[in-house]
Amino acid sequence: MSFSRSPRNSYGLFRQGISTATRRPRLVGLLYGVNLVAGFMVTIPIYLALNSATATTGFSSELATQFDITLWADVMEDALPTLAGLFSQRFWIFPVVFLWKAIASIGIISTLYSRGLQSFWQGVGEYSGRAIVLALAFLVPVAALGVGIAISVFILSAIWPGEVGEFWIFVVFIPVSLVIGLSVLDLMHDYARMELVIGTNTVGKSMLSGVLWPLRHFNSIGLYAGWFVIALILLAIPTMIDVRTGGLWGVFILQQLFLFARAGVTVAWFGSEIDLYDTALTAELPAIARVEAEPGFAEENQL
Amino acid sequence: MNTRVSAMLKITIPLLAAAFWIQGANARQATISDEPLSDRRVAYTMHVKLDPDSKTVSGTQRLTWRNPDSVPVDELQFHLYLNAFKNENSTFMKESGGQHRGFSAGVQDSWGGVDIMRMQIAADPVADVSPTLPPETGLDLLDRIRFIHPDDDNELDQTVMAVSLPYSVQPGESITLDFDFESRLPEIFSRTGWKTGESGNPFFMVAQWFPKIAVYEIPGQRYVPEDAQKGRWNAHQFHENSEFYADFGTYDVTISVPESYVLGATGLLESEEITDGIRTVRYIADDVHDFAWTASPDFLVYTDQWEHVALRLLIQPAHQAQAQRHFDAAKVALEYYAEWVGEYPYTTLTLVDGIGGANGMEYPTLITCGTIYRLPKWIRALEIVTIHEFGHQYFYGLLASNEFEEAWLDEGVNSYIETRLVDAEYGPGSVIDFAGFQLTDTDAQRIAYTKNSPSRGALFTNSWEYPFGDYNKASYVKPATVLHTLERYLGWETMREFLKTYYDTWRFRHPTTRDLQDVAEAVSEQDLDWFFDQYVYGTATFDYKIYSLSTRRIDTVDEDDASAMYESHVTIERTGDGVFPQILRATFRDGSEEIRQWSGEETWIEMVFRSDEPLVEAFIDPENRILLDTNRLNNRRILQVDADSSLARTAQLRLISFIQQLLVVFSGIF
Ligand SMILES: [Zn+2]
Repeated sequence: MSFSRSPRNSYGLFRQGISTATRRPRLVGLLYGVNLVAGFMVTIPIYLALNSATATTGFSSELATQFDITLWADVMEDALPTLAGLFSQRFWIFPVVFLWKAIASIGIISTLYSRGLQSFWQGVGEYSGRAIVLALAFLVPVAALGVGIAISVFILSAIWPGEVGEFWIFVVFIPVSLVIGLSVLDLMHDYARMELVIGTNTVGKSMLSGVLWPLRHFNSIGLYAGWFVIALILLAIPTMIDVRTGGLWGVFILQQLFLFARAGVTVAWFGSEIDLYDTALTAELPAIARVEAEPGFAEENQL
Repeated sequence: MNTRVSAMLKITIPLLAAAFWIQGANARQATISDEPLSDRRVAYTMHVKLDPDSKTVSGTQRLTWRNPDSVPVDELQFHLYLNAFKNENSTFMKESGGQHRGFSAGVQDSWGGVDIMRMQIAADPVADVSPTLPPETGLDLLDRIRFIHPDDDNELDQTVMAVSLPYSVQPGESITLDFDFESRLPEIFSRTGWKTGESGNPFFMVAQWFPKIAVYEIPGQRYVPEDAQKGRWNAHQFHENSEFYADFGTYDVTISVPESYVLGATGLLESEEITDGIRTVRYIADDVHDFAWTASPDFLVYTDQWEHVALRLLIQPAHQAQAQRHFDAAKVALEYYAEWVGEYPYTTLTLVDGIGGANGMEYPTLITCGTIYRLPKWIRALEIVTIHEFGHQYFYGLLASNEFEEAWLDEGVNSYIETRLVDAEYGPGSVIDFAGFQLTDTDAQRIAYTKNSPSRGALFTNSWEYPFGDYNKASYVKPATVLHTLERYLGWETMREFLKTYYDTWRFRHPTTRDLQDVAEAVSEQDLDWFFDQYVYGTATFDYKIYSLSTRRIDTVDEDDASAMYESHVTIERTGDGVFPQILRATFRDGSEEIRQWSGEETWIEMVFRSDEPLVEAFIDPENRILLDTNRLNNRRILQVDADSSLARTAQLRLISFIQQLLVVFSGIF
């Protein structure tokens, strides 16, 4: 009986994540599909408003391929009342996305960790209440981050007045510190969820453990950063592919392929984080506990 | 090349060559002409000193004014523009509520004003101004000063001063006055004053700063009737929305500032010396109607040359990387204006990168531009402001219409050429060109008119008499759109001839709207009353639209047309009180077209087409020539059966992908 799960190197963790994602196409499809349906639902009224404003004008195909602000001003005069009402009605999307993220994450964790023995929805059913409480609890450090950045901006503006300072503060400091800050919190949140689902801890203990996780396990930061860069690239590509560069449907499908891949990254990301969590936890356990835990690992290694 | 010195070294060699050329050709003149270009009714000689601590400019001014009338004149009128910032009681402050162009009046110590300590008829008009002229010499006029308020009943406004003379100035004779005056500069919130820069050093924009004589209009000039007994002063108070009006002449101004200050001014630098830590410069300017200057220890100086024009740029250190963008834009403007309007007759042009509310302003041969740190190349704000302010050298500077009464002749005609030039030079996306979003100057100004209460605010209106705040629309974007429409109606060649003729005929002569219309009618050889009455003097607007479009197969063959098998009906509706001659293009299934013209006068009109193909599209103004039409989308209509969803579909598909991305990003936050 040997320990095949010695702490992995980064490459191993990424490979593990990717292989997890490729083994769970339905999970990837679920994550991708939910966003696709949401996008489709939100845009139906936009389609209707624009169609009624332009379909019989003869300008439709011209406007679809080139921007003309004069015509758009006329279109907006016609469609804006509809669209404005629409946007104000769609704010429910934000709490829904928040809840979906909270429950989807634990669904992913539970199904990946159990190697499919427990389904996504079983995990959701079991942990979603606590996962939502955990997500709400994480809003506190998110708010604290906002306050911290605001105070930093106030101080920086005082010591660095003028437009050069303004540029660096508003164009560089704020976005960069927001991205880094939110990413760190996201990382902590991921491991807190694992503590909740895998470690079966209470919400409070999970959150504390999640917050301390990157401090105890530096390699979790490298893993997160690696996936972050991959996710960023996958997200940037559809932005850069413009409808005008090719046929309408062709470009859309290409963009969807990248968005599907991005959903795969979410699963893979969790997969390698769970792997790291597992490995780290194993290393901390006394030998006897490792022995007890062995059967699970053995099965994992066969996959 | 980071410092002023190295920047100057870099340009020394080409400049020397240019300087020799200028000296050889014109012996350093302020204009390219050996003769006066204007009537030169005024001549100013000033010796002034800037005190950066008290934010004041003080000194002496000698003014010679020639009576251009055929009758004696016994009263003089002056503008004291800085008194607009004297306290809250001025007409300017009441109208603006202490706000102007996005900037606010300062709190303490930031009020401005002009104090005249001495005003005398010069004892010795031939001699140069003597700062030590004893007060008993000459006739004292101080107690003859009174403030008048020609535009409203605000007795507390002190921006126009009248002085009754103890004797009359005879026709063609001159009077010379000596002043001691002190100008207190306000903290900048409307073009003029001081502001503390990034470094903590002050920046000064010294404009509208001295007692400036108003324009005396003689019979036949502007709106003074030809048969009037005598002329009249045309002076207006300084309003929130008004710029300036003054007579042409010569300026000889000597300015003293602390040695560390870099200075730029209207006209040509005649001499410069430094003694005891004081930098004294002398500028001369000929055939201009104002004199402005700027000073700051922070300016970096760059120079360049365009044909006969020596370009000088005073730029904030943070914007140093954009120095070339300033010169490039200025040269583009010089080139196009010379080609489209006429020659720029001055030998200098100073570009000033000022601070805040000082920016985006024009003075003779000196303009303030304005940019921000690291302004991206795809936002052409810097280029457009530079080109626009340079354009004022023609309409504000050389033609010098009355901006109080007919602001559109300056801002509007200038905006028209600005948009035309910017779009010609930079192409689609001339204002903003980023990731497929292209904002073009002409379009931007067009929608700023058509989508902003277009029926409010006539071009021809006193600038302070727009009750609903329509000054900007009626002075900038609407005239630009009106003139673009006129250009497309007359043709560019005619329009260009009109611009050139207008400039040649009226430069240095303060043309009016009527004069401009006269030139347009003479050049185009047609009566344009219908156009000017509706769109310049009036507030007419219009929207022509295809109300309905139908086509049907007819069984009986038309008697007149044996081949006709389809009858199509197009109903056109005109909303609004404006009329414009129109063209309709009818397109049939086989691609053939038929053009119909009509006067545009009817509120609705039905057109019937009989042909062997069904009508599939009707399009009013297919070439987009009538920019005044407040809605273009409804100018065109296709059959219901041909309804085309491609825009809605494209927008939807793009948005779906976008929302998916947004959801991914958003879920990453939590
Ligand atoms: Zn302007």
